[in-house]
Amino acid sequence: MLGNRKRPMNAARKLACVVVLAVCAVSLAANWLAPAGYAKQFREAPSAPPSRQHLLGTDEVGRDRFARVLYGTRISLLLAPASALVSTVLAALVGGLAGYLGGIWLRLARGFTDLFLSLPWLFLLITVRAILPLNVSPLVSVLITFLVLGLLGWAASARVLSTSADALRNSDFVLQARASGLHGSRLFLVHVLPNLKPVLYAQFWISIPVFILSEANLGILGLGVAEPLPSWGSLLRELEGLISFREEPWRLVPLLLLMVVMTSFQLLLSNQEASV
Amino acid sequence: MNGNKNRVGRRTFLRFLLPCVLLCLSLASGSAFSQNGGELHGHAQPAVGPVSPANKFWFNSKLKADPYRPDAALERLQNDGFHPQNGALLDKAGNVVEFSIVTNAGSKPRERMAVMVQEDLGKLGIKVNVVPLDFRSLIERISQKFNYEAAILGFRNVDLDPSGQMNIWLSSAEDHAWNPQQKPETAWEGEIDRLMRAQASTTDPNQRKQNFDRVQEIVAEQAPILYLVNQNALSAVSAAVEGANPGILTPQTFWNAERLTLNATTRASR
Amino acid sequence: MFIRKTLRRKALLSKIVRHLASIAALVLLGGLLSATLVRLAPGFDADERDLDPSLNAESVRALRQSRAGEQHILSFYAGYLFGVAHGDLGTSHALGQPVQNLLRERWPVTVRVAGLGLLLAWLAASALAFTACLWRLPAYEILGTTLSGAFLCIPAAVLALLSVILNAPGYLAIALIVFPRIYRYSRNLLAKAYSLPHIIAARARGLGEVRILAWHVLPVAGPEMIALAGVTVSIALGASIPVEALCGLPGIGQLAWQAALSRDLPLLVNITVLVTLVTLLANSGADVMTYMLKPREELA
Repeated sequence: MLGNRKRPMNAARKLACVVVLAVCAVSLAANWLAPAGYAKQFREAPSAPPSRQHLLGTDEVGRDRFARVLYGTRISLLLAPASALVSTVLAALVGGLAGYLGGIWLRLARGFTDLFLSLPWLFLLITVRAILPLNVSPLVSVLITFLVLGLLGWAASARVLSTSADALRNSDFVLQARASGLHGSRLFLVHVLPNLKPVLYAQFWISIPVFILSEANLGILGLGVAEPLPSWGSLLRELEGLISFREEPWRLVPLLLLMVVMTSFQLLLSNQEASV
Repeated sequence: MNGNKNRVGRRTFLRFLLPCVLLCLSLASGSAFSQNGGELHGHAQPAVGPVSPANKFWFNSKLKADPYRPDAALERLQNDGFHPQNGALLDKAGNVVEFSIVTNAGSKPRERMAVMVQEDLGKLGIKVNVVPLDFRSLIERISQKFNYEAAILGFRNVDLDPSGQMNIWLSSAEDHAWNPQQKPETAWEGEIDRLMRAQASTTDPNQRKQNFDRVQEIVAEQAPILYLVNQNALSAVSAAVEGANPGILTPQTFWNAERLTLNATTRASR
Repeated sequence: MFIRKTLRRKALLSKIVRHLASIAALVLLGGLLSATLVRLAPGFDADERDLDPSLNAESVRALRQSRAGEQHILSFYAGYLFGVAHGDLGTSHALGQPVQNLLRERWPVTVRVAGLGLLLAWLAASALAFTACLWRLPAYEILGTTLSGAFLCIPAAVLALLSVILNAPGYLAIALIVFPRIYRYSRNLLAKAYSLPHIIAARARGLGEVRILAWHVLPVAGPEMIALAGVTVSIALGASIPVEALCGLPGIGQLAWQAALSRDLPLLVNITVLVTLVTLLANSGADVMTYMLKPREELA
């Protein structure tokens, strides 16, 4: 019975693994698959439909969309998970530690995170852009963008984590560990933090597509991936002008790719016990 | 005449570096916008000055747009001491020619124009960084802090008469974007000051036209602003509306609102 | 028994009073911090009319002078608090109306849109998460993961535009934005609860799935899900900004967007104070409920 349930899940995980590896391989082979590059503008064919020369058509300034999807995959697949990792670590430190310590620390941390969630961070981001020099390199602007996202995206899950850690603080196994002489950071790292994994995983997986989309919105403030570098976020921003999806369905490909890759990651690393 | 003109402005410190580069900007970029494959899909013409050809009286018809000739642009740069090296353009001192263009984020036409300028200048080896900023930050940089190198923007101009542009052309005026808020720093700015005051002080239309034509010629020669395109004024009117007679100036479609009606079929269906 | 009840009631009351005091302090601090962020951000002194060639130097100076009272943050904020104490929330620069009138007109729209969206999202996510745990079918797990992953990847602006094109209500867009976050967290919380040893023992003893869920899983996962409910209120409020702006719904979200674009300080401070208050009340409410659901032995 249990074996029958496990088989479709394993098949799904294998398929997800193949999909993720294929996407990574294809994006690494962008130089060969899309030799024209992501910046070259075919001025005679703006907003063109798919053809043999342009597999996914071109954007409004005539850049090959297929090339931009491939190169954009590299940036987003590398940096969004890194950013999600930063926010997850911060959430674990602030929320997890506060819940573990309890008392005044827990109240202070919760108040701080609630305040953090309410403030208009848009203006901080505008200020960050103002501080940066105008001629900052695309690589630096990308790194700063995703770092800022990571530093600002931890509060919501820190709130949930603090409640989980608070519950764990008085659980039996933690009491037993304390009675055995384990205290402080070792108790937190060895017993409390691993039990926060389900919430941490949820935070991590939710953050990746959220940060990819947020990076695109940061373009409005001058942060974000600088032109002509592509990213999934900037490709998804094209959808905002798409009134009729039926006439230009190929413009949905970046969205479909993001959905497929995110679902594959989640299936690959979803909790084995959850399926039993 | 269009309500908005798109132009590139520059900051003071670039006056030593960019006279040739800006001229080459116009050679390299201008025509690209109005070709059939351009950003505006053929609904524009290369601009030559602050006045659109549609403003028949004030437009200086002697001015012609520079054709798209990247080779000629590179030649002019080389004549002035710039030289290409390993795909980049270097000045006499060996510095890479690099600058930024700011524009307001959220305006897709301007962002795309900046990207096209970036591509065109990239072919000459000039590295351009496109920086879309939120509108208020942009205005602060341009009108108060003067902390920018180049910008793609449009002044809102709803007056056919050039006197409506005094705040831009007078060197001591608020919206004077180059060598801002000073007495004229250069002879040609002083000449523009004199001509603009002269045309505002006379009622003879021919004299006024002569003065303002000369202003347009000086602007075309000195290129403090590069005018990119004169866009066609496009209107869309529903087939259900009767009596529409769209014009060029805003409000284009409902300037005669008292004469607009719905056709009988639409009225019956409501 | 009576003494324990009284002590518990006293502890609950003291917890509520502490929460209210901290809410008041945090709301005041939030207002000041948001005013500081807005004031220090570039573009505060700039106005679109600065580039209007038809305005002369005196007019531009007069425009800048009209905001002179907002140059010093502390004096502005002190004046604002004084006004609030007298029932005056200030006047919006962008819209030229008293802020309290604007908020009074618009808060019902946001409450309806965000509230319905949140309710729909919780119903859908909970139903999917619970049934995934009850049935434990891999196909169902894959369906839930795919659905939540799909909606997580669609930009909020696109969901809002889709709701306009398809003539769907705005709260549906908010529900689709919030749903994947709720589903993923609650699915993992329930999965963690189901993996506990006493659940395996309960199953071995032949207890029905519904009874296991109600008596053994929910008490374990419940407090964290209640905490999540508090957080989703602020997520829904954040989602209401692009949805209201794009769907043309005259709510507080649309007002916040207009205020941000025009750096309307009085309006922004008031909206931040309101959002902070709602967020803190929601999260504090969740904390108090969690406390009330704790087993009595833990409180002793």
